[in-house]
Amino acid sequence: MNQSASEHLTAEQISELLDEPRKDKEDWLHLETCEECRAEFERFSRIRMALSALPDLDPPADEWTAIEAKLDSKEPRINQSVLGFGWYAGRSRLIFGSRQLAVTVAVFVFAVGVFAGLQLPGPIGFFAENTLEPGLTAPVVQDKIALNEPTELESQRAPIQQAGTSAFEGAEFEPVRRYEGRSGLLVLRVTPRTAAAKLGLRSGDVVVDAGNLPTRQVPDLIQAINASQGSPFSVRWIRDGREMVKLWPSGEIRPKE
Amino acid sequence: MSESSVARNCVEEDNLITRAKAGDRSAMGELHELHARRVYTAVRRLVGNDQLAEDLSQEAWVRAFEKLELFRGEAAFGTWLYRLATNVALNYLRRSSKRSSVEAGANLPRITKAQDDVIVARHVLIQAIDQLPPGYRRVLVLHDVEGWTHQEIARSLSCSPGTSKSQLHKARARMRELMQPVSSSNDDMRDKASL
Repeated sequence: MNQSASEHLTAEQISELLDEPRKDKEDWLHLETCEECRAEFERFSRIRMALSALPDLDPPADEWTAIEAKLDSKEPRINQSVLGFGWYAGRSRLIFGSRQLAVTVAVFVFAVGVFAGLQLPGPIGFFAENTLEPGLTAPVVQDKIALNEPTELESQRAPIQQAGTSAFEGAEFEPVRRYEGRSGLLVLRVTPRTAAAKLGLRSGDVVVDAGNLPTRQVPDLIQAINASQGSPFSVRWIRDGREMVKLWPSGEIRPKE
Repeated sequence: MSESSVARNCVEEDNLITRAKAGDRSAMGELHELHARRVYTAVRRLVGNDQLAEDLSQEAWVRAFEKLELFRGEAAFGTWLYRLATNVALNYLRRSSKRSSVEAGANLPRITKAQDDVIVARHVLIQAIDQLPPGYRRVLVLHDVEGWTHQEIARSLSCSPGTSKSQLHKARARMRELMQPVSSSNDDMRDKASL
């Protein structure tokens, strides 16, 4: 595509350049000569970077309670197959017109139902699983792929760590500048039951100093730990505009000096 | 985190999974505690709505515990769970006939240079994602936020990689429109460039 300076690149062309930076492409040549398009490319690039570094979100505090309630509500359905066969026995009397035959059919079907309810191995067990989950929709192909055939790409993606971020003591950090006029380490995520979690860090916090030394990079944190020689030291961070100080590694609030 | 502590955590998680398969509720609770944020985040980003995300996140967990017997440990549990949760959200979006009718920029906080701060920008960014049409949002989230390749997206959405790319570029263009900085009177005096 031949672009003159007056014919700026479209947003979609700029987006393509973000993913396929080929220097010989004409759009790239245009970018080198057009200041306006270059500035726009920079904005796209910043949005792209910000998207790749979005922190995890907290689920509602009562999520587990709600999940447990749903699990509880599904358990009684185990007996529904039995109720279902009782209904079938009633219907069969109408169909066959003979009480004796209806009872025989009902007993036979009931026996099959019991087998299914007990989840015996083999083909019967397969039917049992479906019988136990009448509230669920049939698993779709995508679910089966996810559940039974994890791809090589899944395993590659398991530990998500964005470029420019570092993990340390159970937290993943990204250096940030100009946060309330200070540099610091933005907490992207915290693994439960790690030192970072014990301290009280959460995603979105910005750690600004450790042991009274500014934390601009993760090595600053490591240095603070090494310098402390095992003694507690203060870690300061900003959460929702408020400053918080706690003692590493206990997470105790620092006593007033 | 040292290699030994990572290995210890893996063993602990395997133990939790074994207990959860046997119906141990406390083990299920601990697994939930370990992975709740990742599951909720994956679902929330895709559906762009808090209430819906809460319902679908719960559905993903219930389904995970019901299907736990099928987890054979070939991938990490977190990866299996993440993929299951993502599929729950994508299946919902596939079934849903609802389409966002929100006009670009409607209800979006004004971004000014004075607010051009990484945290504030992130907050606005999330709102902009939520305002994308679902088709754009799912490709943008899967590619730019979650780091999927176009091949993976195409496989999951039953489309071609070319369609995935095309949707992504349109989604980014829409994001750029939504993130268009608005100059306030004070900001006019400053640089107009912003995120």
